[in-house]
Amino acid sequence: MDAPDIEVRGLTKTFGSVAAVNDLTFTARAGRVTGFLGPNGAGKSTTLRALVGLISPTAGEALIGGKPYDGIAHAPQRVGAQFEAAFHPGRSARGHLLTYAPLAGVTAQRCDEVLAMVGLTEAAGRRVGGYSMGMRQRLGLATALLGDPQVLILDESANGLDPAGVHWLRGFLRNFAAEGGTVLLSSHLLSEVELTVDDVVIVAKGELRHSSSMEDLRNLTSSRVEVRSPRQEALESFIASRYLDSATLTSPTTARIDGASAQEVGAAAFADGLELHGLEQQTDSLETVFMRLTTEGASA
Amino acid sequence: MNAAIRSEIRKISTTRMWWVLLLSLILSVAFLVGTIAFSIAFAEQLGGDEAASLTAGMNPDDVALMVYSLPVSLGYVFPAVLGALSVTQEYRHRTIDTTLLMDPRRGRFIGAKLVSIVPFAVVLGIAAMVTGVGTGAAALALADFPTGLDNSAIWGSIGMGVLALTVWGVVGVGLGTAMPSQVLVVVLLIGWTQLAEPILRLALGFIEPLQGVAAFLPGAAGDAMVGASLYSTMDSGDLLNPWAGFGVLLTYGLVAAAIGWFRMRHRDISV
Ligand SMILES: Nc1ncnc2c1ncn2[C@@H]1O[C@H](COP(=O)(O)OP(=O)(O)OP(=O)(O)O)[C@@H](O)[C@H]1O
Ligand SMILES: [Mg+2]
Repeated sequence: MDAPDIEVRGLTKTFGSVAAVNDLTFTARAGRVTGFLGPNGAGKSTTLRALVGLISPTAGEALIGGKPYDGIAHAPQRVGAQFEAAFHPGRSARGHLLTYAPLAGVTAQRCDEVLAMVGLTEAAGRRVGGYSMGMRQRLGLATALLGDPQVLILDESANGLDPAGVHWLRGFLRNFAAEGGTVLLSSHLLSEVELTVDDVVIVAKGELRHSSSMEDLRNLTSSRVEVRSPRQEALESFIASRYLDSATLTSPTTARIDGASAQEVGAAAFADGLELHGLEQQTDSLETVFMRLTTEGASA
Repeated sequence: MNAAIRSEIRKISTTRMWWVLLLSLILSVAFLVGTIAFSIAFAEQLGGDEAASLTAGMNPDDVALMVYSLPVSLGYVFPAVLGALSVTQEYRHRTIDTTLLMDPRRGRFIGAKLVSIVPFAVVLGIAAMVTGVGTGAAALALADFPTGLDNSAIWGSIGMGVLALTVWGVVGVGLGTAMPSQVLVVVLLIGWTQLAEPILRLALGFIEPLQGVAAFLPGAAGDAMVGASLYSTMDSGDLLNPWAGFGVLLTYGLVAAAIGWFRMRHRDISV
């Protein structure tokens, strides 16, 4: 598969006085799953809609393979997108897909194929009005996959899926990217996509807050150790001799040592003969880092 | 374009809407045409002066033709609503997102909607005329009134009735694109066709310099295609000739669709 990249360049979109997206730039590369993360109202859906031409940018560009969506020939066979589940409640899942089959350039057989992929074969003849939220999400995915695209743009697709569904989606997207496809997947929960994505793009209030590989994001998590000792003077000299730059006394009998592990500090205290009454390691979770990135003022 | 039309036809055929409207159309045309035809045919026996004076001095074929125009005058709301809903439902259920993802060219979307309504509106049109002419002719025959069905000109008018109802479907699509709010467009269609225009036609009939204008109202244009109208016998307002009526009615649909296209061209499709 020779999939195109997704490029967002200086994208700005205002609705009246609301700046939904403000000068946003990032790239989602082929062969990788990119997580597009941010809290509610961050501008994720707006950006994804701009990518597929449903909304027109106020400024900047949202391109797939260097082209705006309406410039892509046979778009459904290149790009599949899923937004908030949207179906006519009176149609069956199969009827829904058959309706779009002519535009996607596929046959009824492909409709059954994608229904099987998302596990809806048995429910295919039932009216969508009676579907559960997770079933609608699955049908939305089936619709995105209908034209057998190389690029997937998914807005909150894991939302409402059961654990088995999330697991399936993860495997599917990993495999899709491994075969060279491009995936841009939005979520407001880092934990939901943490194991799925290779890269992260984090936005808040319409602006870019962070963009890196998942691995680099993990490196932003830091750990610290809190030690308690009843011997005030011994504690003071212990941190002064060993952790002068990274330690602070938070009370006369408690010290906090940044960037250290409990194992390392415990060994040092033992070697120095320091009596310890407490030794606790605290690690920022990814979620804390994510919160910090999205709630702080815009980064430089 | 073919793919877009096939997709739109499937959209209509995979929901119940169109045959619910078909059944409602048959029932209401049978009921309304039956009632009106009986009251005209049996006017003397019933002693209804009004109905008798309505047809007094008309030749029997004109009375029959007026009865056969009723399915158009009374039934046009059904193909029009079907056409309008085919567009507004896309917004209501947000399937417009998927539709434009599959084909982002919005002019093509509207074009395909305009074309795909035609076969369904033809079916509604045939059902309306068959029901209306059947019921009407039966009522006339029962009262020993000439049915006019031996007159080929009347059959021509009946055929134009099918065409008129078909064009109403196109008008509905146009309105739906120009005004994508489902509630608004249905209220407007029913309010206009059943209330506003009949009143307007009568009112314009009384205003000397505006008398000609009434013939260009959409309902009057549709009636003109059949060559008779309940309302025009009431106020003796002149109708356009059938093909001029066709042109005027179709123009309403296409102008509305053009407005819809213009509105939709750069419009954001957002939640
Ligand atoms: N059509 C619109 N009219 C006015 N404001 C809008 C419109 N669409 C989006 N917005 C505003 O733009 C901002 C970004 O919205 P958007 O839907 O892109 O956020 P999101 O990141 O997808 O949020 P969520 O996680 O809740 O889905 C919000 O403040 C929203 O209110
Ligand atoms: Mg959103």
